[in-house]
Amino acid sequence: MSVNEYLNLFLEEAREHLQILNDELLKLEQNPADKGAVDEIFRAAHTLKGMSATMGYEKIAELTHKMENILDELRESKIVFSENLSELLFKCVDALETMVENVATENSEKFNISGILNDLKNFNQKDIGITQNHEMGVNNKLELNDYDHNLIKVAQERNFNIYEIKVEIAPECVMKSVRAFMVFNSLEKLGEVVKSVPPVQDIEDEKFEKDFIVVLITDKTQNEIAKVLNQISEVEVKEIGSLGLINGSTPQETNSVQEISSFSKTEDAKKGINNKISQTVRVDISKLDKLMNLVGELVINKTRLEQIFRTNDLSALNETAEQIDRISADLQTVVMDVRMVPIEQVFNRFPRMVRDLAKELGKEINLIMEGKETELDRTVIDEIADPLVHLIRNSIDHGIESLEERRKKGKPAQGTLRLSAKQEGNSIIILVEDDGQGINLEKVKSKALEKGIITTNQLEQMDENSIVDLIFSPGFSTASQITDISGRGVGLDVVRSKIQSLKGNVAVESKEGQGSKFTIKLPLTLAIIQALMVKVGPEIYAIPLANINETTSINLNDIKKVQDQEVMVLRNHVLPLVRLAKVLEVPNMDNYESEELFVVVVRKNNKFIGLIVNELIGQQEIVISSLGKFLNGVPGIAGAAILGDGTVSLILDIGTLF
Amino acid sequence: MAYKVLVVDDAGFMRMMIKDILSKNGYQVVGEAENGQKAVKKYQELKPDIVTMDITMPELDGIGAVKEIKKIDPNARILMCSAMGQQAMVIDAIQAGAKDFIVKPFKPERVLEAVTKALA
Repeated sequence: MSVNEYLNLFLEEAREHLQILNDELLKLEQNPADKGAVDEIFRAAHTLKGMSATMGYEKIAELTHKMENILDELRESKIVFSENLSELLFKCVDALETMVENVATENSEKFNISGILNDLKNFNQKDIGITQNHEMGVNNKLELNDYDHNLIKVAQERNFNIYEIKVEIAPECVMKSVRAFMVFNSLEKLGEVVKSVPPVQDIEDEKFEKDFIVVLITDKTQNEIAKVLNQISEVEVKEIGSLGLINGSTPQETNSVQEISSFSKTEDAKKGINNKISQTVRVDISKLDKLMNLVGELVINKTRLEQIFRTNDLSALNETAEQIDRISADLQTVVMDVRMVPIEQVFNRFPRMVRDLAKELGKEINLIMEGKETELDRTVIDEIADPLVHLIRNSIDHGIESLEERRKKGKPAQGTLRLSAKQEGNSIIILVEDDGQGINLEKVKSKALEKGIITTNQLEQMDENSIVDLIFSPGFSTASQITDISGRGVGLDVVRSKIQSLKGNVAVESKEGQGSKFTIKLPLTLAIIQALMVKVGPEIYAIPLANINETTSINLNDIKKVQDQEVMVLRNHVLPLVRLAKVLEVPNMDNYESEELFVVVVRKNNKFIGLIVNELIGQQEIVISSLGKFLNGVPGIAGAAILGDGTVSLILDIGTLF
Repeated sequence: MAYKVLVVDDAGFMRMMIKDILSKNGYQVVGEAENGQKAVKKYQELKPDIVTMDITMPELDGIGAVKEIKKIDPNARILMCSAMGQQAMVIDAIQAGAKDFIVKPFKPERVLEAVTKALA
């Protein structure tokens, strides 16, 4: 049987179980008395063991098996949860993670687990391995003592049959003791088992090679016995012989049977608290992408239909057009909804990461996570993890101060890191806040000058926000010391460019001494967006609504100039203006001179800029199509959209336009 | 008519595997459940001829589920799917009325043999 077809499912579930392991270990660390957490950990390790063994990943199976042994002792309170143990278990989980990821990338678990296995072994001296080496080759021979003779004699007197049954268990059987138990169990229904070789206790402990002998007193025939026993899997009846017998006295009740029932001594208290398992279907993400594309096509054609209806004034078409509009809107919501996954997926890994970092740096950090249930498009989720990791590392490494420093400043020793997500209209806002030292403006200034990111002249004109914003510039890193955790030369500029590539933006607010707050704003989905269609000269452009703050009109005379920069006064604020026609180099603009112009106020990071356009056409839903390989990454252009009349319009990317 | 099977395991991966083995060999997998509680419910709904039952599961484990199902239908045929090292629990399950057991990782032949024997 090929296991490859199960690989994806295996990986997915393995990752889930690893997540559970991590989460519950953290819980256990907080509260070592949490029995529920131990059970959960045990269950996750156990399921992982079964899965990986089936897939033939023996190392994963072995490691989880050994983990299980320790966990079992923990569960039965034979050992206590100590820091050492928690470190060890975390190490195991890390090793498992590495192996599972190795399986994902190269289809082999490839990892040296001998070190960890040794650690586990040292922890658990009386390790009960998978293979138990018993003395082999002991020949079983039935020897009857006086007591047995008595018993048999009485049975004979009462016309019962007495059989000596030799049972052999298949060599590949993994749980010989259980098979033996089943044999005993069946035989008891037929009569009374008076003796066995080796003794019941040894059979129970699997201290026999492959066969054992049972003496049964019964009123059934040999055939009947053989039939019953052969129904048990992996068991073969070698011989059934009558025991004819000798002398004796009175019979007594034997109770080897009760001994066997004492086999079972393990409790089965594993009532998981997991109530939120709902019925789900796992679908390949590419199928969803395809579905989304199809919906996109539908939306395009819907807009075309609307346009035809409007230009031709076909009232008969009206109703249908409206109906299609409604249906396609619903369809779009559903498809988008299907693609949505809770951000929990990304957040989940952070408690562990924060714990490890805090430990490494000797800081105490309380991580607060809010809005884990907030949903984001699957593609965005996949991409957002790295930037978030970067920001969190930054906060812990550079933001939150050391214990002493915090004490000196009169802050609580424990730093707080708050990670929250929420939906706002068509966007998702993710906040990373800390109560650390904030961003040192002077440091930023001198660094920016030193690195030649800005000139002294430029610096003089900048307000605080713009200065803080400099930390996102390429080649900027304030950490005076490069640590292992952050500041590996990859700066926040990477974070910004990543988020911009997701059509989002990131901004920072900082209060020196009180902490900093990074705000990430992302669109709900990447495929279909609301946009404002504008006319620049003869050309039509789409500006994503997410970037737009407001629109206003302006008379040519109201445009002022400050230091060669066109500006306007909007509600007592000076708003810098940009002529889109100039930036986009639209030809033949002379024909479109007019007194009245429109201004689209867009937000770029923390700044507002007014874009001058000739005409506002209206708000419309557009499907983003990529420009293809050749035109990919043209600054200022996010893609193209097909309009209702079939023409193509470019979508402006405000983040990179100027 | 093909025998109806209910497959119970908390790992979807395991369920898929067992399902494949059985359906390729003429059995009809009529239902799946990922925990003991659902298994009991499904058993009542579907009245399968045989159930394959994992032991370690959330909500209600396999042994608990065997007990519940046996209460409903004393003739229920249940095949335990255990992992190595669960001897004690397998015995509990058999005492509770399970017909047979298989040990993960299992070979298709073993699964089929056990199912056939349990149905005999």
